[in-house]
Amino acid sequence: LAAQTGKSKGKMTMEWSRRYLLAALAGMPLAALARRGLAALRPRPNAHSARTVSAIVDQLIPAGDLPGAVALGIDQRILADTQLSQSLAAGVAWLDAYARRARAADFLRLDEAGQMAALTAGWAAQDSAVEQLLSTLWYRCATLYYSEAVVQQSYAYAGPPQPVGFADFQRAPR
Amino acid sequence: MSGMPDWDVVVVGAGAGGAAAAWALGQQGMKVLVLDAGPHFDPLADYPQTSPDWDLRDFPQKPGSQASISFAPGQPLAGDEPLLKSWSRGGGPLNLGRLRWMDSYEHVRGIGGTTLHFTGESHRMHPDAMRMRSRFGVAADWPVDYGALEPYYVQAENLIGVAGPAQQGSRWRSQPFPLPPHPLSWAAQTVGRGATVLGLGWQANSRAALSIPWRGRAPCNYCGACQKGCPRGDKGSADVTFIAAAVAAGRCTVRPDSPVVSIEKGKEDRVAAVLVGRRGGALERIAAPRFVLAAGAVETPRLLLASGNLANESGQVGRNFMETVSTLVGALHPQPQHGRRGLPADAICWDYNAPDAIPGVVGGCRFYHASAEAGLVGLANFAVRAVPGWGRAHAAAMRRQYGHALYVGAIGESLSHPASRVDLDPQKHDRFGMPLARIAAWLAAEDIARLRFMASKSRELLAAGGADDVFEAYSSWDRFSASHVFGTCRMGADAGASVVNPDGRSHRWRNLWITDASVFPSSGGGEAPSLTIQALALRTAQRMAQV
Repeated sequence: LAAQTGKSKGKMTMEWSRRYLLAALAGMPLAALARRGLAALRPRPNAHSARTVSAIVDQLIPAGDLPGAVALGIDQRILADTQLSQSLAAGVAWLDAYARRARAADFLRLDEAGQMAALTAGWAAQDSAVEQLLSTLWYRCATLYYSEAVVQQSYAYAGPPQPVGFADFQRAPR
Repeated sequence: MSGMPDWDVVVVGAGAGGAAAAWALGQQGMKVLVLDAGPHFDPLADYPQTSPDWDLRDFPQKPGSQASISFAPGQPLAGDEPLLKSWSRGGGPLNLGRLRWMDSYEHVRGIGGTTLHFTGESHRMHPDAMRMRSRFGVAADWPVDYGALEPYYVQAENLIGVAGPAQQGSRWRSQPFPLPPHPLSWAAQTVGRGATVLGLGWQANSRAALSIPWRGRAPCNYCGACQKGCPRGDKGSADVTFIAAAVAAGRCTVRPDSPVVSIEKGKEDRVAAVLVGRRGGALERIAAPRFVLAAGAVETPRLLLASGNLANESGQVGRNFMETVSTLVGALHPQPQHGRRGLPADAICWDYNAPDAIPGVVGGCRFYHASAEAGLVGLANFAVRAVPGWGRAHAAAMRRQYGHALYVGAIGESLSHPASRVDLDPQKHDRFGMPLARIAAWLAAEDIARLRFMASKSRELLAAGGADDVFEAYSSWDRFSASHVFGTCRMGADAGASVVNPDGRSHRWRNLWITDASVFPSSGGGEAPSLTIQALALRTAQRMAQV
């Protein structure tokens, strides 16, 4: 994804909304964006960064009437198959620095409200490494989570199109 | 071995035009070889539409199924266009720059071509949209009129199995559609109530999708996933219609994974052979008495230009490029709609389709129900596009809003800008050393004015139907992403101003014909082009047999 943004800026002398690209809008296939992301393979994160990613994912989609993203293993899938860019180290460092200003040792030591405040501040830090990290994690987390069968089963008309299609297509939704 | 060619005709491209030409030429008793640069797709294996991550899957890519395309810099974005800026609530603005984003040419290479992932709208041209030069002083007139094409429209509709209504305004018919129209989905009915409020027509779209069983094919089960690939074969893509019929007739051989990289000129204004790229960079020479190019409005001019400027005596190869002028508006309705149920683009408004129907703007457009076509049909896309934020608030909004999205799309006339063209990239080449096609696409002032009308009227339609919470909107003003492309090998009677004659035959090269949308002199007022491509191809094939 970072490569895509860079390509746009460098070769086409344009500036694109990274968050937009991450969200894969306007017909840009999500899977295609994910594939582009894979091209930017980086070394696996260290243990602290990995724990921080899990904590972020737990805040992005917490447990409610459904299991949260961490309970469904989304954080581990992201760590295993998502190529987190160089923004990971810088993004985690930003969150840890925020935590220290809040008198905690690092992001992981913040309570839930503190972590939410840190993430809110990170989202607002436009064009920063932490905003890029959070955008990437949100895109991957949301698309993986809402592709889980257990999640789809809790929504009407959320499953795959085939093999039965929609016999009730002329009627009001059930 | 006799030394004679094995084929009466070689067709380059197995999409809408190549497939229709191959079938028709076979019906004339010719032995036909169809070559396509892309692979064969197996619907049940390649796009079954049964996996939980279906929402993240687009039509699949296989080796060779996408051409590498180059783009010229985008058009400067002049002024503030609040109606035309592409944005979404979940992702913000699409384009923060000052140039139009030259994003993509949406196509598929393979047996069936781009019809494999098309929505399946099956439209005839508006008769007046074929006389844009004589009536309005823009574009070019078609050298054949609606009446000349009408019998071929009928033929194509019957082979495909098109379902449509009894009447479509100016598009008079000698026979009814072969299949009854599809019922409107619940979401289309909701938008239709808005159309009624505005006094607009709103009717079943004519669709290359089976409303009843047809010639051994099962009818549609309204899964809404036409663009991701139809696993059932009820969508009338070229592979399951013209190609299947041509092969079944016994005189057509189809070779996938066979990119034609050059055309060899022969003596006496005749083409001698095509050169087909093979693994390892080798070339296979295939000679034949006749050749049909049907690689589309981007790859056909590329092939001609890369073959020593073949058939470009007029200098018009690659010129007159026309694109997809489109808008898409999504809004949330207070009541759940679940617009993914049913056929995409199942309902249409033709009221502004005539070239003089939009007040103050030359060139028409049409509006359609786009909820299943907009890509926002599953939870995953909805989560990142429609609902901003994260955490518990986001989850709660998902519960409230999923299934409430309604979309209206619009597609309009594209008037070729002098700067719009397809040429060869001087620096980029494919693995056979063939230069890539380079697309330059600029919108004319009339196109931008038409886009404003389309975007505004789409919002009115949605609001009148009860969906006034617009959460995303896109237009081709700030992003080039064309699926309908036309005009780069224009047909005409004047050899100095066109590439092929009214029969689709090169003005100079006596055994070379073109049967794709590159021959269109004008784009039409938003009509989907595949049926017209096929009607033209059937007509051209009949004329070929008379030569």
